[in-house]
Amino acid sequence: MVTTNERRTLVNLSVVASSVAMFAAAWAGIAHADGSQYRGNEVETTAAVLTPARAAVIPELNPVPAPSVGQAPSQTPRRVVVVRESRAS
Amino acid sequence: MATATSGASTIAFRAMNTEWWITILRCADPSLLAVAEATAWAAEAAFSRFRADSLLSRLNRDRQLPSRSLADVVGRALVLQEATVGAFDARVGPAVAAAGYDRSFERMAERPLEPQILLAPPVATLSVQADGEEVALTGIGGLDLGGIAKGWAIDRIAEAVEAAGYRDYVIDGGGDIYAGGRGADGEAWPVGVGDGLVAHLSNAAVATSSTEKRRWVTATGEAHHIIDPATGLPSAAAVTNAVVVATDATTADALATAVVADPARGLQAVVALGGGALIEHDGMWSMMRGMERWIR
Repeated sequence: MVTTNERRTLVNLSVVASSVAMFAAAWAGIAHADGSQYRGNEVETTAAVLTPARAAVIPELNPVPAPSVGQAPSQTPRRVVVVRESRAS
Repeated sequence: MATATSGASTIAFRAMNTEWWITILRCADPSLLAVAEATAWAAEAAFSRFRADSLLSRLNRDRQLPSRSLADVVGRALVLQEATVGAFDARVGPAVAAAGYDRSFERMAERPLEPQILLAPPVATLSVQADGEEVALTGIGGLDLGGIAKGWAIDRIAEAVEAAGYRDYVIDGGGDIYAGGRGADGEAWPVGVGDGLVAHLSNAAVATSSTEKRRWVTATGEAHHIIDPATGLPSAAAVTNAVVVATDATTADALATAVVADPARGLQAVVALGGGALIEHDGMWSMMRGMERWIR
């Protein structure tokens, strides 16, 4: 089973391996209309592409209809700059 | 420190024991950022359980206190307690302290020998009344408004920003984030969530709760700050991280806590309140249907 850290590492490697053209296109996609970009607090992350939802088998979630829980979307080596990151503190 | 670049005014500061960052697009009123910072500071002074003179400490000590802001926060906590069928409950104050989190987290390391987790009185032994003007406690126990007070402060800052006529802004209070309007590119604000995913938020809030933060060692093992109100002990549920999107930061923070404390009830409340959730359980991330509205 691939752990979270291993998956993150694989994703990061995929990011590094992505083409310069893909990076340039993604970067252009998040640039501001006036040509400027978010400054000072940028965080790069991978973007999500949805995969078909799959019911997760989590016994403690039984009261929640199973179809309402789906597999997290897979990550692709597309780069998106986020303005901030939600985190536990 | 406030800065103004590319037509945006931004401020970063520390309050409520965490880092804050606020940016407002096309903002020409630097005093608005000062108001925002002052609001966060005022919330810390009012709702910290580690300050003897805070409104919360006075309420827990005196059992009755006239205060509209305190009544507002407590009133919202009671609404969310009902919405989550008790998965979120501000009455876990004594249980958090009994678990060892009885001082500001930075001071936890000062304790030479961590105690074992003590048994706190059940939350049901405390009755809470908030009528809009004052709050009264009856019975045994006290309140902990930790996370929900931070969300409440974010929402109050958002109200101030909107009242000043600005629509496009982001308020990040220690990872609880409200994104108003849209970014300078005209698109929803991209916010990192979970394990490298992106939520696109516009007039929505996101909060993350985790059992992996604010952990400490006791004589009987590790403990953390997410208390299951049903047991009075740190949650032992399989969900270790919960990301919740909701209409406001108060709701998002409370629901994220509820999902970690009691996943079944917490997730049902997320659905009922029209939010979305992303959870990590047993090392695997899962997403609720509906969350694709924000993660794409």
